[in-house]
Amino acid sequence: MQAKEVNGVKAPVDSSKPNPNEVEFDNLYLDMNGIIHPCTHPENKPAPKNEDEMMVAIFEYIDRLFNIVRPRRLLYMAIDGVAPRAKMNQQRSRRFRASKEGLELVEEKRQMREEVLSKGGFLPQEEVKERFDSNCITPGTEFMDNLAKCLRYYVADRVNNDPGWKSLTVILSDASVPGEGEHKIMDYIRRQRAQPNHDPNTHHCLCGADADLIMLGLATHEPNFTIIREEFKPNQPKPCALCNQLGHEIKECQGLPKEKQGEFDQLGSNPPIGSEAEFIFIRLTVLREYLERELTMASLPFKFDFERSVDDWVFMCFFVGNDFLPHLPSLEIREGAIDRLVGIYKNVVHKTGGYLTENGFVNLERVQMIMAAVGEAEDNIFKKRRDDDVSFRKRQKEKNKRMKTEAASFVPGGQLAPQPLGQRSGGSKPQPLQNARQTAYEMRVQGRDQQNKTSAHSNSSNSDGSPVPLGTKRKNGDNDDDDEPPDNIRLWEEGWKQRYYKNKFDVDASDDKFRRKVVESYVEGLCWVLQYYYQGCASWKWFYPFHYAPFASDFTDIKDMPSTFEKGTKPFKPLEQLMGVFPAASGNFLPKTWRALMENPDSSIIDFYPDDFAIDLNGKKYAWQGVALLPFVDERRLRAALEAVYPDLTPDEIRRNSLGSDVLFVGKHHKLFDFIVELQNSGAQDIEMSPELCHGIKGLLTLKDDVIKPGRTVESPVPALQDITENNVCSILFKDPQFEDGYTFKAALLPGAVKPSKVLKPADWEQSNQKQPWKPRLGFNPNRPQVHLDQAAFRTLGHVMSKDRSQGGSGVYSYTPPPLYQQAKNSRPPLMRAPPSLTVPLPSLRPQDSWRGPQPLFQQLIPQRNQGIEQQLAWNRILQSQTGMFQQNHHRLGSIMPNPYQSQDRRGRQGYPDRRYPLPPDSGRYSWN
Amino acid sequence: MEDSMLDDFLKRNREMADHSLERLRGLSESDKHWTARRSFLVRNLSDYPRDRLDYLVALSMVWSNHVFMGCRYSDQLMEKVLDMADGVHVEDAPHFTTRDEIMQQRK
Repeated sequence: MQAKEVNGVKAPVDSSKPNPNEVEFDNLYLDMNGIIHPCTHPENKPAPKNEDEMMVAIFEYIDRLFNIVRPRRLLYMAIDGVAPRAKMNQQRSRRFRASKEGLELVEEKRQMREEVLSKGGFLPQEEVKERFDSNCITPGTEFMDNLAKCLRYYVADRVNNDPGWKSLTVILSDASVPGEGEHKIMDYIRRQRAQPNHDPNTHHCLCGADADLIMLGLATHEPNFTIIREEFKPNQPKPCALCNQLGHEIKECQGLPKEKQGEFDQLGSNPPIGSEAEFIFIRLTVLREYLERELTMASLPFKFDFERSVDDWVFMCFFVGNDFLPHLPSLEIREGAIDRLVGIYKNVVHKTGGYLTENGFVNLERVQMIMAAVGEAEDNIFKKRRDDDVSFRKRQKEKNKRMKTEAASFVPGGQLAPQPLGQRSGGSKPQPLQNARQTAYEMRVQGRDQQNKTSAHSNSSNSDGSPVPLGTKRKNGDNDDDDEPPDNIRLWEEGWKQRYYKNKFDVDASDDKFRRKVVESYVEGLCWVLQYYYQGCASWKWFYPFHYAPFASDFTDIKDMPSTFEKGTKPFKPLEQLMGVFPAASGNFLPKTWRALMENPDSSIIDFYPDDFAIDLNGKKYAWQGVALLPFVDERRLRAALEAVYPDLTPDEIRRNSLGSDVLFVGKHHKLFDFIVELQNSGAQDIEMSPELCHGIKGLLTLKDDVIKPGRTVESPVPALQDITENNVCSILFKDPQFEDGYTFKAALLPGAVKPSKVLKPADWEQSNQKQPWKPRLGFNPNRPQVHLDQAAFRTLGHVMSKDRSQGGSGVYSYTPPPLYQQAKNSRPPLMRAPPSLTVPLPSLRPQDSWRGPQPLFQQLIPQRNQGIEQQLAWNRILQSQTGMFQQNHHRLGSIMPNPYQSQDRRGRQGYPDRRYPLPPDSGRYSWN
Repeated sequence: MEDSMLDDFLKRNREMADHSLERLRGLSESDKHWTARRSFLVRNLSDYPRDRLDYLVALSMVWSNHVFMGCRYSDQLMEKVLDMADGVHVEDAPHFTTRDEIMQQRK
């Protein structure tokens, strides 16, 4: 849903009107880091010039989301605060890499610039702006502090002025509140669910691109949970970093003036770059239906409980990789690891006598049985992986060879020239052939000449056209084997376990004590992660102290391993955590004496800050896919070193370093308004807010002196925006409902929760309804009216569509080849963590998919890796060709439904291009937090 | 007689030192890595007073991270710790490729 623009003026959207998606959401939660990153350093459009522009971009982004989702009760915005220690290794690794990549880009730019200019090319003036170091998106920096300020202003402005916001409760949890954004959101939901006033049928909508959000959403056991995320579009054109033009990468920049495209090119100089992102919904209720089909087991020795099996499923997904533990070597998501695990689970659960988990606590004895079953398969998995890899490489090589010679050796010309289907050339219909004999003769002559030319050509020149001196070898560019890093683990050969431990841990496999320690830490980790998802952070201190995981077959005798955590641990303070995750090169975000500890050779923590570090490619091809071998931070020494520099903090830095609180905002139309104003006048400390004034939301309110008060001007922190002089909004500190120590949050449906009606086609539909064809349930509204078109409409449609196709070349019928795999060689890790495929199979959004039934779900759910793309292609293509058929007769209807908001779903019109692009790495999340 | 007493004293002293050093062992440090680092620490212990012990630990980690994890630090620091490690024996130290080296190869 986008505001309409007329002559550059945006017509406002009234978000108080019914939601055009035919669904009403109660709560919208924003995992803000997924918004901050693309708004501050976008991949596909020029970066904002300064911080103010960034802030405005963030406001606009939230506005867009708001207009799509239109929450009626609550908007919860969570920025990542200080994370648990368990996350620190990943954060360190991202920031150390980001810092190096940033410097490399600057250097590359400088070199290319010199080269282009020396060759007489033209480049736009170098902007004086400083490189935006995305590392500043970390709690404790001035940037994050400003952002919080700006967001408070933004909320006040919208609640004052936007009709859709006026009776909304808004909670802002900024970077000063500890916890990762999505987990702060989960904590909020968990604690609301556990208090009796919570409405069990609240419809939640969570915005964020992270694949864990799906797991987290499932873990809530709320029946109405939807995730909204930016649609991932592969191979989006990126402007060249030097000249800002599309079509080439920085390496090929020649500094040519921009080519004019069409008569009115200068009018729309910007649009193709940074065309606005589009959003998709992922309905967890539909995912739950799929899971129910997959997981339901008959004749169990105990009663089957779907909710419990969901929790087990979420738990098993952790084996395959999460932010806190490296994945088990034998479980690769792209090799169908989740399917394998589900298979094993269904076999084993008959023997375990119960579920693997309960309310986020793990039954290790049962987990061991699962691990043993995975362990038995391990050897074969590695062998098969090798076989697949070898044959993939062989095919790839053949393909490369084929591509080189693929340019058709002969294309008939003249009146026999091939014409695109469904397109009229020059407005006329294809003409009958005339004088075919003459044409055939001309073609023969032409063919002969061409052959002579190419044979003469290829004899004497290299592929780039330069002559090849006799007796020298041709350059070979296609020998991929040379780029492959040598694999000295060889998991497919006898003795793999010894080699793995020797190479990865530098210990002998006979060192049982060490291996036990690794397994013990990993088991602890699994318990920690599950509790983190279901109960909240069990320990702020715990972390997995190795760079690699053990094998599944090493998980023997784990049932007595410790799975409880030290109580009462505290998170780091923001500046302390900055010291823990930043490389010395990002030291500018820290006070001077603190920075010195990162740089000075006499520092007692200098070992945390290497200038360069090893990357273990670990079987992967690119540096960004490998494991960064960074030293772990010694918390004791860090604290000891900081003690000496704490006195150097300025009052402002002391404030930035302290732990903050969530802030709640309401406007004067809200029932809670008077209550809060009262508190503002009388002072308040942990006062319970009355849930009946606020849709059953509970919490504790505390007054602080810098809150927003009605009647008092709210100053704009962004110069381009105006102060709010007639303010009718109030704010107050908010704390989630508190529970006694040791309280267990229940992972179950709440009493009173109504399960949404089913969406999937019943498995026995044909048997029970022989006459009636199944009508797919599309979109949120189960009673969505069908639209019918008469013949005239189809004619109009055909007219419009064919034109569209010939222009864009990206229509359903398009024969434009998809971007080549080769491009992946130069490409960066795509930004999103979850794969595009995740969103494809959900029927609610993709009408064509509901035809397909529930099978191919799991292997698509979680990111796959670059390497596996081609392997997947086979089934991808099958699906594509299946859906393609339906698209033709279905989507032509779907996309022109007279619902203007449908146009968001553009993929419907374009078809889904073959996926021959690099999929994101499994940890290729934004480098946020 | 005196010699043996001195020996004994030294031995007990060493044991005590070892014992107090044991708490400096990292969570994930294998026997091999710890033995090497402990030897580094013992070798240099006398040059660092108690209140500078953390600094010595940092240097031992710089050295250990370099040898066993492939980290690189500033030249000055590298020179210093390699000097301090003179005589510490490491059997078949692993080999690493640093990120800079990988990027260099790409070019």
